[in-house]
Amino acid sequence: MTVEILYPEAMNLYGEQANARYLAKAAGAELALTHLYERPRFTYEDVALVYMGSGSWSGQLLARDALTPWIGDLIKRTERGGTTLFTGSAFEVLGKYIQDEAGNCQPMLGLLPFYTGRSFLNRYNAIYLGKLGGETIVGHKSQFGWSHLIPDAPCPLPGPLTFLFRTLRGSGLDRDTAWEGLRSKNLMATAVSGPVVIQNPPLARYLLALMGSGAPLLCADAAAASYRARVREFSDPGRGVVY
Amino acid sequence: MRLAARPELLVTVTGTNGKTTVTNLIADAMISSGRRVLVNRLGSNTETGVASALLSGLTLRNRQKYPAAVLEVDERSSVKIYPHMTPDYTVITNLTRDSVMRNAFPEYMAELLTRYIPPSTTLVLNADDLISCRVSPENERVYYSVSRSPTDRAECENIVNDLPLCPVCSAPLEYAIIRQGHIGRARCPNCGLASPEGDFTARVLPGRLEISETGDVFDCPVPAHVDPYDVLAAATLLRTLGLSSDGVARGLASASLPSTRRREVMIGGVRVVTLMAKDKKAVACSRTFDALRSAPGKKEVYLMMNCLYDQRHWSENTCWLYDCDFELLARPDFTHFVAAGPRCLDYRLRLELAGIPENLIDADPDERRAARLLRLAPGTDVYILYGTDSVRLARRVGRYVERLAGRRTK
Repeated sequence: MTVEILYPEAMNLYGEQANARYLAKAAGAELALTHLYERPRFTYEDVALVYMGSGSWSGQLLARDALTPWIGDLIKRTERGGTTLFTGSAFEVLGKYIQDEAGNCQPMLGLLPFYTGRSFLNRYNAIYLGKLGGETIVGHKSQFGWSHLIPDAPCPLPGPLTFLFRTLRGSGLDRDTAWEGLRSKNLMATAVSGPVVIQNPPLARYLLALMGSGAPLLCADAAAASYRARVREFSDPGRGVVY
Repeated sequence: MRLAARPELLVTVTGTNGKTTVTNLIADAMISSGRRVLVNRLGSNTETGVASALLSGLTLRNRQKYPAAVLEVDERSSVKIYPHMTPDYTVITNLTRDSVMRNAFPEYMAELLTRYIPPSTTLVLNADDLISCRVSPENERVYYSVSRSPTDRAECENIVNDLPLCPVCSAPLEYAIIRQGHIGRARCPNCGLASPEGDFTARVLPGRLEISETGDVFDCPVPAHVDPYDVLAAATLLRTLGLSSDGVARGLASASLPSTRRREVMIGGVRVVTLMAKDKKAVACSRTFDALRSAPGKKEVYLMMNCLYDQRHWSENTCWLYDCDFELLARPDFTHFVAAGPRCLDYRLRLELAGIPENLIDADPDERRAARLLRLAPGTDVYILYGTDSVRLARRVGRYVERLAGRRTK
C-alpha cells in the first residue's frame, strides 16, 4: 500500500503533511514523496491515498503547474473511486481561479467549480466545527479570502458533486455558506486545517477504511482525548469563533 | 506616530526571531557610548507599543527628548507603523514561519515588509537567510553573515525548511551550510542565485565573535545563552552607525538583557531551568529543543507553551506543533514529560507521535497540578518551557517547582 504526498517542497505549511504521514504509518503503507515535475505515482500504480496540504502563494502556482499534465489521470483516478485528499490552501488549487483585490486572476486546475478571492491584508482565522455524516469534525481555518461556487460552471470530475462537511460553527466555503469543502466520489477537498486528519480520529478512521486498511489509529487514546476536548471546547457557545 | 517629533536617529529592529535581544543589545551599546536612547525594551512592538514609546520621549511641546531611538517592530505591524514613521535603519534578523494567524508564511511576510518599509531606509540584513535578505531589493543594504563552523550541517534535519526552492526560478536550492531550517548558505544550481556575501562576517568562538569587516578584524563578546547572530546583527548596525570597533565591543559587553527569558536555580541536586521557548513559533521551539538535546545529563521537561491570550476568547490553532521538531526530544536522556495548560492533550498526542513512550508523558490542564506530576529526581535537570504571553505564570510555576524540588529532596 502506498500513500503519496504531492509536492512536499512547495505545499509544506501548517504541519499538514503530518496528515498523510499519520495515515501511512497507521496503515503500514509506503510513504511516497512526489516532487515538483516528477511523474506522480498515482498515474502509473495503485496508490491508496493521494494527499496535498497547504502551501504559500508561490507554492500553489508551482503545484498547479506540476499537476496540470496529470489532470486527466486524476480525473480517471477519481472515477475509479481512488481516495484523494486536499487540505488547507491546497483546496484552492483545485478551483477555477484565484482573484486578488485588484481583479487579477491566476487560473488554477479548474477541477472544481469555484473561485477564490484573496485579500492581501485581511486574513480570516477561525475555529471550525462541522459534521461529516454523523461524525463531528473540528479544525481551524486560516485563509486570505473566501471561495465561491460558480453556478453552472463545468466540472470535469465525476458527479454528483457534494459538499464535504456541514458547518455548525465557523464558516463554510464563503461567509454565507453553511457547507464546507467539496467532494467528488472519494476525492475530498477542504480548506479546514488542523492537521485535520490527526485532530479528528473519526475522519482518520474513515480515510483508513477508504484506503482499504483496517489498521487501528496511532496513539488512539491520546488522539481521542485531544479530539473530545476540542469538540467540547468548540461546541461551547461562549467560545469565540473568529480570532 | 505621524505627528510625534522624530528623534534625529531612528533605528527599527524586526524579524521573526531575536528582535528583542538585538534591540536591547543595540540600545545598551549606544547608551554605554554616551548617547541618550529611547527604546521599547520589553518588546511592546506593535503599533500601540511603538506609538507609546515615541510619546514617552516627547515634551509637552512635542519636542523629542532623545536624539536616538531604537525600536523593536513586530513585522506584521509594519503595515501600521512604516506609513507614519521612516526609520534611518532597519535591522531584519530573519524570517521564518511564525503565527499562522498573523504571519501566514515567510514569503508573505517578506512581501509585506517590501511593500511597507520606506525606500529611504537602509537595511541591515542577515545574508544567511535568503528570505529576509531579499526584502526591499531597491533599498540600500548592509549584510552580515556567520562563517562556517564545525557544527554546521549540509542537510536540513528539521521538519521545516522554509526555502527549499529557489525564489527566482523554483529549482531546488543547494545548501552548503544549514544551521536550522533554511538559515545557512544556499545557491541555486539553475539560475545562480546565491546567499550574498556578508559585509560583516563573524567566526563563532567560545564566548565571543571574531568579526571581519573589509580587512579589519575585531572581537565582540557573546553573552551566555544569546544567539551569535543577534550579537552580529547588533555589531553590524553599530559599526554602520560609525561606532568604533572598540566601542562596539565595550558596548555589547555592557549590555544587560531582560531577565524574563531564563532563570536557573539549583535545589537539592535538581537544576530547575525556566526558559522561554515561545509559542506558535515552530522554529523557535525547535531551536530550544535542539539546545536541550545538546545539554548533558538527564532531563525532565515541563511544557506550557500554550497561547493563553488566544485561549481567553478563542482556541489556539495548534497546527504549528506539527512543524516543530518534537522528535528531537525522543531520546533516552529525556526521562519524563509533563504537558500543562489548556492544550496539554494536544501536546501529549504530539509527544507520542514523536515517538516518546506514553508512560513517560503526563498531562494536566492546571499548571500547578501539572507541576506536582514532575518527578524531580536528584541529578536531573528540569526544564520549564513557556511562551511569550505566559511570562508571569511561568515565573510562578518555576518558583513553585523550585519549592517542590526543595521539599522532595529534603
